[in-house]
Amino acid sequence: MKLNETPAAKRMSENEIQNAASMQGTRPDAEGLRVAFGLHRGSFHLRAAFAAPSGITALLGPSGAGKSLTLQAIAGLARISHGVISLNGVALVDTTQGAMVPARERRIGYVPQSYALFPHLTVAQNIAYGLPPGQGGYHYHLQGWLNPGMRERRVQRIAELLEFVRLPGFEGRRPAQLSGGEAQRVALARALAAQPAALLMDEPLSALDAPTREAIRDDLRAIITASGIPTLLVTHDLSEARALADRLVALCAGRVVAQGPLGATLASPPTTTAARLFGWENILPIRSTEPGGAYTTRVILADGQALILPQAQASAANERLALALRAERLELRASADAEKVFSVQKGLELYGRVRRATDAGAYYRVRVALGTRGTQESATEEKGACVTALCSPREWLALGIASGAPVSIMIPHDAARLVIVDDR
Amino acid sequence: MKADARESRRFIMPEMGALTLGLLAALALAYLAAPLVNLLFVEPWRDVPATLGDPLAIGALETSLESATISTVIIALGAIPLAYVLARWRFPLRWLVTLLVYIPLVFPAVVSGIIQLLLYGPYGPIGSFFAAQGNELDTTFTGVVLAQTFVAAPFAIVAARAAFEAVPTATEAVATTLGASRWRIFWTISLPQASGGVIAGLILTWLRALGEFGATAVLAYHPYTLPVYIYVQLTGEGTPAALPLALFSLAASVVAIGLAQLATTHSHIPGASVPDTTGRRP
Repeated sequence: MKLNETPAAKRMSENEIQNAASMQGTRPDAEGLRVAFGLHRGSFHLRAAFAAPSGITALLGPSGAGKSLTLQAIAGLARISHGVISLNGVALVDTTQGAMVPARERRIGYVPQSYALFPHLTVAQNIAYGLPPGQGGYHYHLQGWLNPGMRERRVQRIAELLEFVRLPGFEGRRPAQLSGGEAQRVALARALAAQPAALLMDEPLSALDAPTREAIRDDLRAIITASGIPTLLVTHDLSEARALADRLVALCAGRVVAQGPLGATLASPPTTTAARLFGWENILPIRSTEPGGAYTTRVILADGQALILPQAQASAANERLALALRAERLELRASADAEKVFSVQKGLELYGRVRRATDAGAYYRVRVALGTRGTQESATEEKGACVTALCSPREWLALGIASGAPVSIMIPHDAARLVIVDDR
Repeated sequence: MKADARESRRFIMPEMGALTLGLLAALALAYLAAPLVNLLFVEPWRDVPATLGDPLAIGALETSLESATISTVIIALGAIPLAYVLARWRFPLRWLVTLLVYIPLVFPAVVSGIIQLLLYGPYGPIGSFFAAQGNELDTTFTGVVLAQTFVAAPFAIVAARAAFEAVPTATEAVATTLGASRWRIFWTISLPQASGGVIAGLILTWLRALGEFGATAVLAYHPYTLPVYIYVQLTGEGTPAALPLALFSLAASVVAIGLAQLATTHSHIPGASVPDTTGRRP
C-alpha cells in the first residue's frame, strides 16, 4: 500500500470538497450514494470520489486498493479525514459543515466478506435483529408480550424476507448449518430487514467455491435488483463486476481511476492501471504521437510501426502515453495473406513473429514479438515489445503456422486505446 | 483391499519425537496426580464423619462458600466490562491498565494481603473511616470478601478479555449498521459469543477465591475460611485434623473444574458461521 505522491497531493483540495458539497446542493434529489472523501490509515491514503446511483455499482480494484475501507467509511465504521458522503441528497458526513451521522442511524445495509452472521442466533433471530421496532425488532420480547399482533407481524416479515432471498423455511437453522451461499443470502436478508436506503456488499462471492459462485451470481443480481436498493459492491474480480453490476468504479492504490456505466467504462480505460484492471492485456510503450486530423491520432510504437487511432489526443503534454490492446479482440493472419489496403479500411494492423502459442483449453494464447516485416527480423525476437492475442482453437489451427512465422495482427477500432501511463 | 486393511492394522513404531513428548506429558501428569492419589491412601477416613460434625469446620466451609460466591459476583460486575473495554477500546495508557490487572497474579498472596491491610486496616485511609463508625473492614466477613476479590479478579479479567477478543469484530460492525446501540450490541452480540470463556473464567475465579489463603490470613484471619481453618488445624493439632477438611476443598474444586470444562466446550465457537474464505483480503 504505497503511493508515490507528494504530501501536498495526498490531501484532497478544499475545492474538490466544495464541488462535492455544491453537487449536493444543486441536486437535492440526487439518488443513491455520492462520496468525495479522504481517509488515512497509517501510510495508506485513500481518496474516493464517485457516485453510486440506483442499480448495482461495482467497486473494482486489486488487493490493497482501499475498497473495503471505502465501504467501511460509507457505513460509518471508519472515520474519514475530510470530505462528504451523502445518501439520497442528505449528507451523512460533511467535514466542511462538521456534520456526522453515526453508523447506527445511517440506514445503510452492510454485508461483510465473512457475512458475519451471529453464530449464537438462529436464522430467524439473525434476520429479526435488524427489523424495525414496529415489525418486532428490538425490544420484541417486551412488546411482543404486550402486543400479540407483533409476534405474527414478526414471523410473517421474516418469512417474507427468507422467501425473497429464496431460502423459504430456513427460520430455525443455525448459521453453522448453512452452506456459504445460504449464509450469504441470510446475511443479505438480515441487511434488507432493516429497510436500508443503500446496500454495501464486500466481496459477496469470494468466500464461495467456483461452481457455487457461478450458480449464485444471477440469483444475487436478481435479488438485489428486485429490492430496488442502490447497491455498492466491492470486488477484485472483473468477471464478477461484469456479471453483477450496472456501473463501475475502478479503484487503484487509493484513487478512483475510472467510473461510469459498466460497458462504456470497460471500453475506455483512461490509464494503464485502469486498462490492466479492465483486462486489457497488452500495454505497449510508444515512441511518439502526433495529431492525425480532428479525431485521429498517429501513434508510433517503439519499434517504428505506426497506427492511426480513431481517438483525439487529449492528454496533457507532460503525460506519457501507452497503447492498450484487448487480447481477446485481436485477430491473427499469416503475414503472406495480409493485404495492406484491406486492413487499413477495416481497422489497424501490426506485424510481428509468433514467439510462442500456449493451449489454454478454451483458447490459444499466442505471443507475438513485434517487428516490421522484412526488417529487424531477429533483432526484436527477445527484447522487443510483445503482443498477446487470444485465438479460438479453430482459428489458430486454421492459421496453420508455427513459432517464428511472420503474422499480422488485425486490431478492431474499439480494441485499441491510448492510455496515460500512471505506473511503471 | 484386504492387504491394505492388514497393513493399516499393523503396529507402527511411533517416531522418537512423539515418544519423547508423550513421556514428558506422562511425567507431568504423574507429578500432579501423585499427591492426590497418596491422599486417598493416607486419608483418615474414619475421622471424616466426626469432622462433618465439627461446628467450626462447617462454619469455615460456609464462610468460604459464601464469601467466594459474593466475591465472584462482585468480580463479574466489574471484570466483564473491564475485560470488554480492554479487548475492544483503544485508549491511552491501555498498557498500564493491563499491567495493573496482572499485578495480583504476580504478587505473593501475602503481599496482596499486606497492601490491602494498609488501605482497609484500622489505620488505613479507608479502613479508619469505617472503623470510626464501628464497622471494621479487617477481621470481618467483609475483609474476607475484599481479600478474595482482589486476588481472584485477574482470572476473570484475563479469561473474559481473551473471549471478547475472539468475537469477530465484523458481527459487531454489522449489528451497528442494523441500528443497534453499543449497549445492545454488548448484551446481544458480544457477550453471548464470549459467554463460554467468560463463564469458564468466573468458575476459575470462584475456585481461586475459595482456595484463597495468603491475603485472607493477613487481612481477615477471622472469621475462619476453610483454608485458614485447615492451616489452624494443621499448626494446632497436626495433619490428621487437617486432612478431612482437605477433602471438602478437593470436592468443591473437582465439581467446579468440571463445570468450567462444560462451559468452554459448549460455547459458541467464534467464527464457526464463517465459511472457509479463500484468504484473499481486499
